Formats: sequence, structure tokens, C-alpha cells
Amino acid sequence: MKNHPAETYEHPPSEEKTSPDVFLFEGRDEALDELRLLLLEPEQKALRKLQERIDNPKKRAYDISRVLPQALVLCSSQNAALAKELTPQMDKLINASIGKNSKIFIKKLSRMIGPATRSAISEKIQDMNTALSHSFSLRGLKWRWEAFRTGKTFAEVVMLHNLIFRVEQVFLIHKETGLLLQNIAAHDVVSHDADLVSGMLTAIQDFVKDSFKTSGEDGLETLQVGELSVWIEEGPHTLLAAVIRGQASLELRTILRDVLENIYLEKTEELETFQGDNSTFEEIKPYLEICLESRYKSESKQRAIYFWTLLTMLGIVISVWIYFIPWRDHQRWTQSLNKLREQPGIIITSTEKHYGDYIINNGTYIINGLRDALAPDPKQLLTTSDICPENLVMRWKPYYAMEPEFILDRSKQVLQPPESIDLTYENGALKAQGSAPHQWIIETRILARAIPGVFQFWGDQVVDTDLKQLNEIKQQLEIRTFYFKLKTTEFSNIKANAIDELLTDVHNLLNLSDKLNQKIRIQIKGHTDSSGTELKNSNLSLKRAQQIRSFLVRKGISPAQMAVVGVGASEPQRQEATDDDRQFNRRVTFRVISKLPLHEK
Amino acid sequence: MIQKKICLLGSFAVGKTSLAKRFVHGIYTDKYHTTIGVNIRKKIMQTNDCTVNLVIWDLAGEDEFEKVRLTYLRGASGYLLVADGTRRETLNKAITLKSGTEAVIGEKPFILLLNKVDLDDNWEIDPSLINDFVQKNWLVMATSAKTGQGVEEAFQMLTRKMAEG
Ligand SMILES: Nc1nc2c(ncn2[C@@H]2O[C@H](COP(=O)(O)OP(=O)(O)O)[C@@H](O)[C@H]2O)c(=O)[nH]1
Ligand SMILES: [Mg+2]
Repeated sequence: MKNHPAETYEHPPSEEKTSPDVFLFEGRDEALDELRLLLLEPEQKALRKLQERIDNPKKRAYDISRVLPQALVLCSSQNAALAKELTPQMDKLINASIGKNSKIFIKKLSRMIGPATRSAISEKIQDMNTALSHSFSLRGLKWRWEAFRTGKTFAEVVMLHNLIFRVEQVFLIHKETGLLLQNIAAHDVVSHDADLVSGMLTAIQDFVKDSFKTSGEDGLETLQVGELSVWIEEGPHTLLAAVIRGQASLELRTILRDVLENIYLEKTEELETFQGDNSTFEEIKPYLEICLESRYKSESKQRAIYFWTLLTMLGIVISVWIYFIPWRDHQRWTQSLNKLREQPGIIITSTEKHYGDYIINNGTYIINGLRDALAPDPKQLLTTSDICPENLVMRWKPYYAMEPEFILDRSKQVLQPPESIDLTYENGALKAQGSAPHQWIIETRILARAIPGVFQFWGDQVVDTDLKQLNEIKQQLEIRTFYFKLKTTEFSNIKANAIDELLTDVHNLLNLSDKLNQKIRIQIKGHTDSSGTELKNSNLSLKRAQQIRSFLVRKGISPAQMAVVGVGASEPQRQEATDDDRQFNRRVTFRVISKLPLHEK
Repeated sequence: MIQKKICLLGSFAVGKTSLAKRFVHGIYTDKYHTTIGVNIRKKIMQTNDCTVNLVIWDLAGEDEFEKVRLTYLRGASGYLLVADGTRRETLNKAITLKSGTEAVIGEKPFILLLNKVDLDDNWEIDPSLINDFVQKNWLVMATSAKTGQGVEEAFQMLTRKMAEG
């Protein structure tokens, strides 16, 4: 080996591993360089790579990231120091982040709260579960099977069946104007005027905010209308309202919120500059479709079985009955005919009898005749001891019976007299006594003589209660007086309910005059005492009258039915000798003026 | 389609609801029901160059006993101020309502309507007074919900004014 020069430079294996030795071969000799290159190239490469890894922050981060998880595990398994160090830092971070992006957090949280609440509820149902497990109702078993099949807990299945709802309509509304941007309805739902609904919903929302002084976006969230509920989600420029039938799950809230947010992101500019043109909102229809989610309960078909069983049993009973009938039929037939013949208001004109074989066809009996509508129902007259109605065909033609009791009954049926009226009938004349409302008196006069059997009607003695009442109220109103303080339109010593009493009078008066078809007008007349100029007094008296009219209009009396006049001091109630006398003259009085019908027929 | 919200404003029983009913449904009844809160109706209008869906908010009346809810005015593009020609005091109310309205929605096209012109034997407003308004560049029209006089024209005119901006 020693003779081979090339071999003398062979590096001993033990020294290969200690890198400083590499530099011992310094020299300018070409061959040596070459040798160095040959010998040390792999090591140098590795060295360079290492250097680069340490210097490049990206690479270093990558390296650390690969060991960090294990390092953390190691740290926390050995002692709690790391956790202690990190906790306050983390708290700070989370706080800052929530402060900046609270919306995102709320969104995420609400997504969790929905399912979380539901799972809490389903835990509650777990108790119910035990109770239910003893029940062997068909439905219970079905649900158990469903739970087994789907791998859900029984509680969850019960829950699911209790959450049945359907979103029937969705409206997207521009908040400021209340105008409709877009709407959509389930295919079988008749959508009422969506523009008006959208306006009304905004008005309600405004009303609630206004009345309860809630701030910002705290409007109404749910409205209950019969079995429908309306869920409202409010965004910066829009309201999203969903009309729901049934009991909706919380999840829907999240869906609505997401839809609203997406629409806002997509149409921010259009919403901010909305001027009434809703055509660009056609594109967001697909979002609204997301909201139309439905869940239905399937109907059980159990009942059919009971129905068929019942029908079969009925069949058996009937067939026994058929064999039992024939021998009694004939006697019953004659007996029945006699009964009917005795009844006033019923006239038998002819009868027919078709015998049957009593096995399949047990014969038919036919009665033809006349019957007054007020006579008792012939079928009711025939009791169980008579001919069986199944075999009996009765053909009745209507007629008017002329027995006095029928004429009186007929009159009562047609005229429907109130209890205060006594009707009698004698020799073709119908007589009414007592008192009745105006409407009844008018109608009776016309109707009475058209009643078959009534040839004369005596009703002049009937007292018209409406007219009587109208006159009573008129008198009462015309003595009502409101007194005023000196030179003002303020009342002096007014009774607490004086205005209400006045209102009641006016109301009743107008209602009655309406009923009586009499055009009336209430004149409200203002007065002053004699102090002051004539012009001033005339104005003041008019103002006093107007004041009263305003009160009445406010309470719903049509202004067209009232006339105001101011007569100043020209119609004093008392001669003015003292202040007291003057007080009595500062007043408003009323008069009821009947006008002839103007445009009435 | 272009939609516009307009409001009807005025004292109690001046005929706001009747005007809206006459305009939208073409009917009139003598029965009087106070409007509670707000009533909303709509009608599609054809003006010279476009179709407008008018959404008409008929607000509960105002008088010394109750205030109009001004929040309902938000977003309105124009309004009709209604007074009852047979009751002087309703005209004064209309004037105060106008300034209240402008405080909420700013200057918007409006028309002053003197309603119930069919009851001319009870008319309480002199022509000289109307002149004052005309001087101030207000648009004033006499209407009757009962006979229909001037109703269509008033709504047409307001729509045209809103379209002009
Ligand atoms: N004669 C007449 N009566 C009217 C007219 N407009 C309304 N009225 C009557 O005035 C009363 C109040 O009307 P309404 O429309 O309810 O007033 P609102 O409170 O302003 O809505 C009702 O009795 C109407 O019949 C009109 O043009 N002429
Ligand atoms: Mg009204």
C-alpha cells in the first residue's frame, strides 16, 4: 500500500468525522484543491444548506412549525408553567379580536347556540324518553324504529317531529321607504298584495321603535297573526320578513341572518342609493328561495282499518234486519197512512205499493201529496212502529195550508216579530200590537199583505221605539249646555263626564236618524255675554262652537253632520244684572235640525 | 318598476282616507272611521314618460289632542296636505304640519288640498286666503272625495312634480 502515492493521501476514517481537520489541507497546490473538492464536496453542500436554513426566516418558521406541536405537548406534560405564561396573552388576544370583529363572533356564536340549545332541549326530552319508553303507542314504536334506523337518539326523533313548520312567504323591504324590494311565496300560497304588506310591516316596526324608544336595530323580531308568525330580521338598509306556519326552529333565524348579510354584501351600493327602482333586486331571488324551507308531518293511515271493520259489522246487522221486516210491513203501511192523514198541513193525494221478494228487494211504498212548509217533517212523524223509511218514497209538493194556526205561524216566520210585539189572526186580518223598531214596522207594512192567508193588516197601533227614542234624545241634547270662562274657549265648572255624555247623545241621535232614514244635522251654537264689541263676541262665540265640534270630530262624528254658528250676545239665556247672570250666557247650546231627504230616493 | 312613497297629512276628518279611497278604488262612503296609525294603499300611475307605483300612506289625523307620528314620513318622496274647507281651523293645522314635515324629510313636492268643495254652503275659507298661498308658490287645489272633483288631478300633479325631482 505504501508504494502508491495516491493512497498516502487517503484520509483516515477516524478523522473524516471531525470537520475542523478539513482546514488542515490548506495549500496552493492544484492537486490538493482538486483533492479537497473530491473529498469534501458532500460535507460542504450540507453545511451550506444548514447555514441557509438558519439565515432564512421563512424556512426557520417552517421548521419550528413542524416541531412546535410536539414541543407544546412535551412542555405541558412536564409542567404547567407554559399554560400559566400563555393564558393572559391569549385572553388579551381574544378580547382585542372580539372588540374588532364582534359581528363575526356573534354570527359564529349564534350558529353554535342554535344546535346547543337544541341539544339541551333534547337532554330534557331524555327524561320524557323514560316515560315514553313504557308507552306502546303505535307512534312511539314508529319513532323508535326511526331512531334505530337513522342512528339518532329517540329524543332527537321526538324533537324533529315536534319541529314542524313551513316558510310560506319572504319579503325583502327597504327600511326607510317601506317599499318592497323583492318577495317570494311558496308555490301554493296565495300572496296578498306584497307592496302593502311591506309598507305595513315597516309601519309596525317604526311604531314599535317609536313607542318603546328602543335604539338602533332593536325592532320587533316576531309577530304572531293567528297561526302564522312573521319573523323579522333587520339589516342596515333592509328588513327581511318571513311568514311562517307552524313552530319554526331557531336555525331559521340564522338562515335569515345569513341571507340578509349576503344580500347586503352583494347589493351594498344599490341599497345605499335606492330611489324606488327595484328592478335590480330581481337577481337576489335565489337568496330568498333559501328561506322557503318546509317541514311537514306525514299523515297516518291507521283509520282506514277501523272504518272497514265497522262497515263489515254494519253489513251483518242490516242483512238480519232484512229478513225480519216483511211480515210486519203491511200493517205498518196502513197505520202510517192514517197518521199522515190526520196531520194538518199534510194532504195525501195518492199512494202506490210495489211488493218485493223480501230477500234482496223488500218492496217500495210511494206516497204522493201536498205539504205546507210549516207542517212537521213526515219522516219525523213516522216512528219505529211505522213503515221503515228505507222502503218509503215520499213525494211532496209544497202548498199553503189555510188553517188559521198555519197562517199565524207563517206570519211569524216571515215577519220575525220582536218579543214586544203581539201578533193575532182572525178572519183574514193580521193584527200587531205593542212596540217595535222602525225598520220592522216599515218592513211589516210591506210584507204582511203578501203572506198567503193574510188579506188585511192592522199595525197602526204599534209604537215606533226608534222614533220615540230619537225624540227623547233630541230633547235631552237640546237642554245640554256648556259654560265658558270669561273671554275664553275654556270650560268653566264642567262635569267630568259631560263631554262623554254629549258624545253618547250625538252618537245615538245619528244612528237613529240613519235608521229612520231622516236627514238631521246638529247645530252647535256659541254664545257670549254682552261685554265686549259685537265683532269680538261674534268671533268668540263661533270659536266656542268650533271647540265643541272639534271634540266630537275627534271622537269620530262626521263633521258634515254638524253645523257651527256664533250668535254673540244676541240670544241671552238670562237678563244680565250680575256677573252670575253673565256666566250663564257664556255658553254653547245644541239644536237638532231635521232636513228633508236631499239625494235619497 | 319605479316605486314612490307619498303621504296624506292633515287634521282629523278632513277626508284623507276618503281621498285615498276615491283615488285608488274609485269609491266614496259617508261612513266615517277614524284611521288608527296608518293605512297603506297603492296605485299604478302612468305619467308622460314612465310608470310609477304610488304607495300611499294615509296617516292618522292630527289635532290638538294627538300628534302625527313623524317617523311614518321617512322616505316619502312627496305629500298631500289636506284641509277641510268647511272648517277654518284645519287649514291652520295643515300649515303647521307642513313645517313639521319639512323638519323630518326636508323640502319635498307637496300640494295643499282644500277638500269637501261639494259642501259649498258651509265653506269657511275665503278666496283671498288662498291667494296668499299662491303668492308663496304653493300649489293649492280644491277637491271633493265625494264627487271625485280634482282628486285624480291632484295625485297626477304630485306624481309629475316628484318625477321632475
Ligand atoms: N261632503 C264631503 N264629505 C267628505 C269628503 N271627504 C270626506 N268626507 C267625510 O268626512 C268624514 C271624514 O273623512 P275621512 O276620509 O275619514 O277623514 P280622515 O280622518 O282625514 O281620514 C267622513 O264622514 C267622510 O264621509 C268630501 O269631499 N265631501
Ligand atoms: Mg283617515
